[in-house]
Amino acid sequence: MFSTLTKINGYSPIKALFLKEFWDNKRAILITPMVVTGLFIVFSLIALINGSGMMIDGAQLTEHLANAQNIDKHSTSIITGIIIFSPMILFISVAFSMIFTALSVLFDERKNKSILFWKSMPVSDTQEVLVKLATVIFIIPLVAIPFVLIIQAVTTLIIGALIAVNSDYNIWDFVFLNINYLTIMVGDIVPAFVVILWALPIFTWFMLVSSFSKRSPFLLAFIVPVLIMIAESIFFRSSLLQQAIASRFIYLEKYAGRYDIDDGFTLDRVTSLLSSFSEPNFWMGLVAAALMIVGCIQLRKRNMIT
Amino acid sequence: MTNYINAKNLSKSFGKFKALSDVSLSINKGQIVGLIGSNGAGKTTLINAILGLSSYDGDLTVLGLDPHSQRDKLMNEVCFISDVATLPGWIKVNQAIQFVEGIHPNFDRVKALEFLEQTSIPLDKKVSKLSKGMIVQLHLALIMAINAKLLVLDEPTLGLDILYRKKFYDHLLEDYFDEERTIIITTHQVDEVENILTDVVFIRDGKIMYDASMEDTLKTWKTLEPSSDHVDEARALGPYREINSLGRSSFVFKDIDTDTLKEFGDVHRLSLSDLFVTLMTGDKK
Repeated sequence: MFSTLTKINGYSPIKALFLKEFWDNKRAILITPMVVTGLFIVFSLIALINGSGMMIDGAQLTEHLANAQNIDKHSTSIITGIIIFSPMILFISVAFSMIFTALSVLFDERKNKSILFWKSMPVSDTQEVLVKLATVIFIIPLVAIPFVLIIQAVTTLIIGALIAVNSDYNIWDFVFLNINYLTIMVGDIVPAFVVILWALPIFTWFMLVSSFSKRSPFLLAFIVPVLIMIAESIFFRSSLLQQAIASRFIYLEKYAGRYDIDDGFTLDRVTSLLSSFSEPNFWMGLVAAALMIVGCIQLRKRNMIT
Repeated sequence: MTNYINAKNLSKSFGKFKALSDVSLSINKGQIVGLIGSNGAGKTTLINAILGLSSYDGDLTVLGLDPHSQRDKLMNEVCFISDVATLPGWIKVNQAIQFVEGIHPNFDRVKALEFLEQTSIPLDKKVSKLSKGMIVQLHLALIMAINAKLLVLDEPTLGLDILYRKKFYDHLLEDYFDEERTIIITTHQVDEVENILTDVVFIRDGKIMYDASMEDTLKTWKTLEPSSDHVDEARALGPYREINSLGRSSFVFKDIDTDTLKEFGDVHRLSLSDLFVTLMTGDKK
């Protein structure tokens, strides 16, 4: 199936554009999550063999388990929490991949002059830019999902192994039947996309910078907002930009920043996250993102090479 | 529709610099036009306008379309190679073929592979691993496998060795060109394309200096190498330009028929490069 996805036979322009981005950004899209997942597995196994357990709430996982009287809410909540947060390192690496791809996606083609080749083909700048946007905010996280599931599965197996070694509990009852894995998958994947949509203006800002930057889009993308913030605080004694940027991450912090073991994990947390779409601030962000994408398209129409 | 490109009063400025000023040009179906000028004369600016790569002032239609706002549609019928190497280093040869096949409705993969078979380009290598000549060959193979009405070649053979250049132009003429197509070529190697052109345009300082068919050009312009005792008589005919080299004089004549000239010595056709020098140095006598 994978080979039919990555091969082109005959005229299919949108697929060709997506494949082009995949080939160009293979490292960010596929290699990085693959390597991170591999490293996670290797280090988890080393930790398991060395017997150094994970620290939760100031005590070793094994101590928690030893204290657990039975399959109770508390122990279930701990195991669920560990599995939910186990792909954190992958999420962070995916976020970096998205940022760096957004910063290079309209810059590299000007720098290596390939833009003239792309422009000799019958696709519009609008199509090109939208495919690049979709690659950054959709394809990169989408391709990471199987790796999220692998990390969760490995984590589950390791917890099972730890319990089997350190206690008399029946692992099957304790780990595999007791935990709601579907909830965990939803709890990892849906919030990720909610957070991405909230942060959309930031990703489109990076794309906008990459479409006009002459030398280093990375520096420019960070220096410009910092300078605006400084100017704002000096001349207006306000911090509107800073607040606007911070407001993009409220739900990331709310969701990922706190996990109450006593409450456990329920899908209510996910649905409350989805209800954030009703906030005007969310839609203002989407409008700002749309304007920046229009800017990217107009700049790509005019600019050719750096 | 026989008129493929129609430009009226086309201008383009970069700040104070006028890259094109009031260019009017008409190019029809079935022509092979050589666009010739020195560096910075405005060739690439004109071509960029025709290809929809830049904005401009004035009227311009290419295949009935406005190139700047309808570039994507235009590219169904137009293909071009620019003078800068433009294939990205990260793409593999077979990926480049797949990409063009996916994105261009008029691309023929079999044709592209046939062209590539004549070269030593490996299909599984990345462009960054190919030599400069190979990259140009690959680009040409991709473009020539597209069935387009208008082909624009901006310094197409830069970086290719002489054998391949010769092969390329032969191939262009024999296998690619037909009456339904139009080709525009810019090149510094004027002598190489001279024989395949049907029309020639000289451009200088953003203005068209000369625009004529090769047939008319050959009829109008001749060189005379007078025998030593006829030099003064030949000079009396009022040559357009006199060339002195190695102690011999030769004259460039305009609009004087061959029979008249023959009485004074050997008459040759004027090569395009000599015509270019004659018109561009502007030392009219």
